[in-house]
Amino acid sequence: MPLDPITIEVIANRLMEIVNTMQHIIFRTGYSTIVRESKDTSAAIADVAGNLVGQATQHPLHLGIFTPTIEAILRRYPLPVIQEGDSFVVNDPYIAGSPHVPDFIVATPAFYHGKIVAFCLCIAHKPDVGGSVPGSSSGVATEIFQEGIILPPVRYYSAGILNQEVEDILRNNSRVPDLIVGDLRGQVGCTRVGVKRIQELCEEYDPDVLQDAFDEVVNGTERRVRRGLGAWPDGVHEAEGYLDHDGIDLDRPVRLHVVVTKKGEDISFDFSGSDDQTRGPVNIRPSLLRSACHYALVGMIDPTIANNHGVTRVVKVICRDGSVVNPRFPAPVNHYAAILGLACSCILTALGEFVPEKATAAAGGGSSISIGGSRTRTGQSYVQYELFGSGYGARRHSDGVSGTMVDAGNCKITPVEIIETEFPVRLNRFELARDSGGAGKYRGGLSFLREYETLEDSIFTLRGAYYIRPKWGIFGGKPGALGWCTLNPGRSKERKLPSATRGMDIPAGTVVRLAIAGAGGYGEPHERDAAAVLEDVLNGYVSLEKAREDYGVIIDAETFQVDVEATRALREELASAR
Amino acid sequence: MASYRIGVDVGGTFTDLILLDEETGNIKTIKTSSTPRDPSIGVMNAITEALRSENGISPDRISFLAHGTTVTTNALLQSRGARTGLLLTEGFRAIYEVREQDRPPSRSMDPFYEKAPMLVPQKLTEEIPERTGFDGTIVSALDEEAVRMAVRRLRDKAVEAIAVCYLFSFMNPTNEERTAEIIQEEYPGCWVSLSNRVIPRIREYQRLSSTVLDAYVGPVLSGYVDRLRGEMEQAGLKTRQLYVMQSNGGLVTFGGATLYPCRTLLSGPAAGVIGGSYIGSTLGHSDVVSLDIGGTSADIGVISRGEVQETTEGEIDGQAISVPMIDLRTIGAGGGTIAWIGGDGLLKVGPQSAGADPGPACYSLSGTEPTVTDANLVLGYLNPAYFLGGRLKLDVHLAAAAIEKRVAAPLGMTLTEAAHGILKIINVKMEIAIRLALIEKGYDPRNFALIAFGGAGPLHAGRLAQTLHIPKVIVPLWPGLTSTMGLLVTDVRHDYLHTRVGPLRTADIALVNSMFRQMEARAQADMEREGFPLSRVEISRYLAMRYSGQAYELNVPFSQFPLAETDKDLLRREFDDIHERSYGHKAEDASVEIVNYGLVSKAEVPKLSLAQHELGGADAFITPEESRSAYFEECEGYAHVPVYRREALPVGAQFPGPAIVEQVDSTTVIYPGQRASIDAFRNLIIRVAG
Repeated sequence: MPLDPITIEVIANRLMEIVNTMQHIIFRTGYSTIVRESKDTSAAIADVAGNLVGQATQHPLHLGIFTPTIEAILRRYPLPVIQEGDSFVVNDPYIAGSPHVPDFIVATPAFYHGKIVAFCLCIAHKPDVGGSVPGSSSGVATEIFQEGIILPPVRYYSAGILNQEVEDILRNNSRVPDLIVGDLRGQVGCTRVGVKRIQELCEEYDPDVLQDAFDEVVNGTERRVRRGLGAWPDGVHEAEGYLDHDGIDLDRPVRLHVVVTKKGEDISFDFSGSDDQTRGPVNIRPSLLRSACHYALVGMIDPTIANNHGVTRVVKVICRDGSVVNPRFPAPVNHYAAILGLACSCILTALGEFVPEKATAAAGGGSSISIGGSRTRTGQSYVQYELFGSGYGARRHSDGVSGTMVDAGNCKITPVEIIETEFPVRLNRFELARDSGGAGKYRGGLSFLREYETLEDSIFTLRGAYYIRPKWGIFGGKPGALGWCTLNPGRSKERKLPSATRGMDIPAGTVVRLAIAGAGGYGEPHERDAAAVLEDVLNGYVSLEKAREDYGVIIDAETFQVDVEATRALREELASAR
Repeated sequence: MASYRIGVDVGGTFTDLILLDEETGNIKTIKTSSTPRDPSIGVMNAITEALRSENGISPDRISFLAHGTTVTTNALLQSRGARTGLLLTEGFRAIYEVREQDRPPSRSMDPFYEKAPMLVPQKLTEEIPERTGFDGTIVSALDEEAVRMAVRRLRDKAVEAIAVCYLFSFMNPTNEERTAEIIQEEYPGCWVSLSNRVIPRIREYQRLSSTVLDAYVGPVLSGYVDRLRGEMEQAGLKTRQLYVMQSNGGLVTFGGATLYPCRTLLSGPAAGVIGGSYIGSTLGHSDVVSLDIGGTSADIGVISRGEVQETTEGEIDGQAISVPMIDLRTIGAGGGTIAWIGGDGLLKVGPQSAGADPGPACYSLSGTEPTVTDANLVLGYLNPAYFLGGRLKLDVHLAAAAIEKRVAAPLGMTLTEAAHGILKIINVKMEIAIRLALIEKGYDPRNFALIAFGGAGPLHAGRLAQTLHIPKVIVPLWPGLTSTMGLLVTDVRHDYLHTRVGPLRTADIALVNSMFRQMEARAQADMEREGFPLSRVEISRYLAMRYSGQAYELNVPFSQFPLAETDKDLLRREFDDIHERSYGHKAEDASVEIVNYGLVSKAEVPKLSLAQHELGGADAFITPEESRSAYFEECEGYAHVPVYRREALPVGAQFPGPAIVEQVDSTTVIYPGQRASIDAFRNLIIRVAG
């Protein structure tokens, strides 16, 4: 008997409720700041075949990673050998779907009357799993072995009993053993709560009904994506973008290229034109690139479509073996975030050619830092790992949003008060970066600037992006400002850093000031309403100089009035010079 | 001599009052028009009318008054709060604008994401050189001259309120407190909200946002409460027991309310959920959705297993707030909600409301915008001669003209199509909000009852229940008075919290006990000042604890007091158990920290109780008052439907839809295929065909 739509709707929403509960639990019980403050973690439920049926979409970058992970676990542990109470852990980006080594995935099967009915999963970023720098992510790593301890799928719990050896090995390989073990246990706890809720669903609905509902939920998503695609014109569009470099060869940019082919209700993303894999760690695994494709496509069609295996069925992703988007083992991958953001911008740019009313300028560039050392206030070693957003690109009818995580990333900022309470560092500045939003009829979103002052000797690692090549504007809009990072600005030891670094020893008292790259603008800047430019100046988003240079708007520095006549003359001049 | 208790609730359109005779339990109800420009006028009108009833009541016989208000909520929803400036630590302008940096989960997949607006723009934000360290030491002294200059600039920009949020002020409030003094010197009378008072907790963004909200609504609430208190004194009210409903469903004194204005942002809707929960409980329903539709908004609350859902982390209209509150959803959908044509040429309904003044076009108060009430009138659901029992004559021609001109003509539709379209759109909005509140939490609507109240709830509830598959709708005897009833069925409640972080194992038990004794002494003093004998005050205590290294606590309540050294093991085990129940695991080898010491005092007050009647025979004889023509999709047009008077319907009466039930404070529509009956409490029950 086919399921009634109410039951499907209820189970679909119950699934999301379970996933959201799991997500809440891992945030709430987290030990490391990267889990409990940045919230770099996602929960999901897969059916017994490993097909994703529900996932919290807090982090779009995690959309594509769970399916290859379940497949990896099932290859090593076929269904008959899995016992009730088992929990698996894996972080190998080549065997499973983990984005990079610090991301650990826990999977716990849900049994009902002796049969597996589903898997509950949770990925969480660990602050440190060994490797060459605190935080495990060196901007100059050349092999994955420099990026920390790599686990294939192993049993962390066997039939409900902790496998102490696994925990001991992990403890022994981290600069912050208590945090990673605390977080890992929290991941197991969250999957166990998910399992319990799935079992309650089985009590309420028969497990077969549940599987049917899972199938219908997946079919529903597939239908919505295909219907959305069907409404677009067929065609082939391409886009490309460049990273500054791979962290090793600082003079050679890294090209990412995509060809999007849409026919009927099918779509493919071919990245074969991208550069070969790099020596440095800006490579990205295909499962993560798939996340970017899912995000951009669903975001363009209808962001409310539930994420599950239904999207996977529609989206074809082609990644040339040995390229930067499908590197061969043991290429390093820890700095994937840079190329992931670039991929999102390229895909959105190409998709904008299919639906011009949804064309958007490129978002600004996310980046991250880690500061590690051996002395916290309690005498333990520590790793302060932070993830930064930027601004969205401008779009038709509106400015890009400033100061936000963009595209595939969606972590929270670590509160200043948490950082200073837990780590030997002080923040001096956290402000929007003036003039960082690309000029345009609609302005790109502003990124921000942060300044730290270390209170102890420590090791600093930077993984930024777009320090040389900015994120682009469209339809005449200007690119966003470049990112930058300077040590000891205005002092004798001032030093500008490249966008990615090794672990650098910095003595107590070092000032680190960095700004994230901004987002691109939309349309000709001199067509922007002069009143809007004045408002931007009053709010500190745009300087008087840039108001004149980029927008052709002349504002009196004393009275903050627009000089209407002079502005008109200047704008006419700018227009005729084009 | 008899004494009386008053519950008075101000909605967007009407002000409702219940007068409860403490001895007999008898109830008198009053309804007056709200006076949005100064809601205290409507409140005093209602009180005056109440005192005039029962052959005149001496104002000093009023022993207790509880007030539910939407002044702060409306100020926020309609962007009518104070023009607010912000002072923050130099160098940290991004805290407010970046917020938490992430997109809310519902927008995480949206490349066209937009943030909710900032209540204070960057141009009204001033940076102050000062700095407190993580441990509370003053790293840089407050630059008092800079504060003066900043306050003068803000004064010249005509701000009415200033929010102050410095880093680590919850560890050491010195710089914020001194700033407040300087503001008073430079700009006497300007409202000031300090973050260390609003919510003395770590995490600067949530504290800042709550403080900005507090400042934004502070002058509005303060002016209101002062006016109201003055007018009550003039009217001869002497009781010290003057209360405002807080967002958490408990009552606080008038004076206490203005200390924390942002804690009243959900005052009105909280009272409604408490009232709905109470009615549900009298009927033995522990799973209930409360739907309160007034003139400007619809408020949706969920009661599961008899418990009202609470939270301390929430958002109101996209603004983060971290004070204790009932977990509810508010959307801009009410009787006064305006229908309009959007830039894309499509029909939109809300969120703007015509409120009570000018109100819907049919009120004849010079309103020209078509509203949901106008649509309900045109389609025949409302009786133009019996709105508010006939006190407000509705003009169906004005309603029709407004819809015709603003909706039907531009869209090339008939009047009926346009009016029906308005209701369809507003219903879908409410349906989605209820579904989110229910199904997203994993609740199956088929197990719930929908309690519909507020003036407009019963008009829409039958249709909503049908599309949501909720099998039963309960319309209380006085639908417009449910929130007011909520004010008379809750306790006076005060929360006390003290933060001191330290390991449980080495905690000095004498010090722990003395901290609870101090809070208890404050609680007792507060209750005595409000006139409650200690014998009626109930104290409960809890410790908020976490594993060392975690950032969020769990509350562990305990009943034994004072605590003994041996109780630590019990508390520890209790914490492990709660952690495992909540999060699926425990860490018996990890050390446990106490973070907060919490104490709640409650004074039970005599509550209103509903009278129960004998159920008559199922065939209790009823006759419609009249019949009139009303539009139903199912009938493919207008049909003649029976119209009943609510007060004439006997207990046990049963009748099928389509039908309309009219009463002074509301109108209920029973849709085709549904069945209505009157239960022993005289509630109107609608069974919705599954």
